[in-house]
Amino acid sequence: MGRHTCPTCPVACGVKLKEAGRETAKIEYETVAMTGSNVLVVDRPHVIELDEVLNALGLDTISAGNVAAFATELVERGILDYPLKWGDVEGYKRFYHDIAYRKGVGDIFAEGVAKAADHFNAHEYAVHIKGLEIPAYDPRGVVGMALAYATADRGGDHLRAWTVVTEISMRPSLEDLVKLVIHLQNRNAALWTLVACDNIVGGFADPEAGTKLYVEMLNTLGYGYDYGRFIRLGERIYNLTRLINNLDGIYRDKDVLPPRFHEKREDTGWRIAPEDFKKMLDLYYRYRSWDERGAPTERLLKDLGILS
Amino acid sequence: MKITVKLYGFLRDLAGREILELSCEHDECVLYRIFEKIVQIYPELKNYINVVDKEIYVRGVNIIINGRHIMFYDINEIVKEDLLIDILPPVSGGS
Repeated sequence: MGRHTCPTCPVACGVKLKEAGRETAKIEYETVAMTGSNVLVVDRPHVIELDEVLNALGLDTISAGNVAAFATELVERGILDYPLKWGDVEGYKRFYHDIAYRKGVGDIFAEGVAKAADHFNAHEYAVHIKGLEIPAYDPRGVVGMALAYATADRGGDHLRAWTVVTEISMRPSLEDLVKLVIHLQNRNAALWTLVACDNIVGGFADPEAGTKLYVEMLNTLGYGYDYGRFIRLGERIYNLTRLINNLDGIYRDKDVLPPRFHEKREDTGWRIAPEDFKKMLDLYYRYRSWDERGAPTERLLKDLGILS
Repeated sequence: MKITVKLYGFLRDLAGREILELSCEHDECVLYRIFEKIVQIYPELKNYINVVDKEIYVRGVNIIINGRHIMFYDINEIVKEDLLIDILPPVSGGS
């Protein structure tokens, strides 16, 4: 039926559709996965219904889907007494309303998976990193995302470094994958200073393609950036946010995966072994020139011009 | 050594089956040689997996071996156990 867009954005990634005779919006991949298959709601009309409920309530679909799955698992394990079961569309609508209006147990789950896990003493079932619920990439299949999630400055986030397309198009090497995560984090930090759209660069297997175009555009305004200097700008930003996190007590002990990702998936047997994750994180800190605690070294900060 | 290759998504249509079974003996049981054999027996996979100079290159797929990503393995070491190799196609999405 047409496209819609955030104000002034020329990309217009939103799509208006007609479903069952009424106008609705395109459901995003994350929504389909987290509020759909993640809670065993597997038909499109019901996923659209739940998406519309969450939009109306102003709740993020990634976090809401995570919280809903967590709650359903607690009910299944006899830890939570609430009328909810897997695939229960009406139950999820009621649950999301209870969260939005902080009614009953909704008041607990409104605080997110991490705080709810504190309340129910159920951390082994909680899927989050640094309090942010994980989006729709199971890192047991796309392992670069394990490192990306664990080292994202704001928690379990897939946008700081989205390794998926590049990871499946390169030589599978631990060293190269860790460097990719770092490069994407630095690149995106720089790109977002331009309010650049992820959809433009994200689809390229080559992480430099697209970004070089932005640097050319920036230089038409008189800035003399080359690609290396532009990425360096992003590196400065990423290390500054890490310093802020360090001040808030975030060090290596928080750069961890939820217990679920170290367990074998029931269907495939895939997992991230703790010793494999340690290898990835050790390399990440080394390549970033962070110390063993996960803090940027003084030498690095002087080199970046953050310290004089 | 028994090797089971499990294909996902469009790769099943490409190979005409979900499961591929093969075996290796002694010096053959080195990962890069195993993948050479897989691609030799099933040339439909050649566009997605290549072995060049004892290095494995992928194009558009992910490879999990006995539940762990291939990059955590030394592809030059002789494997000492049966293998389940999962070959995954790409996923889409993003925001």
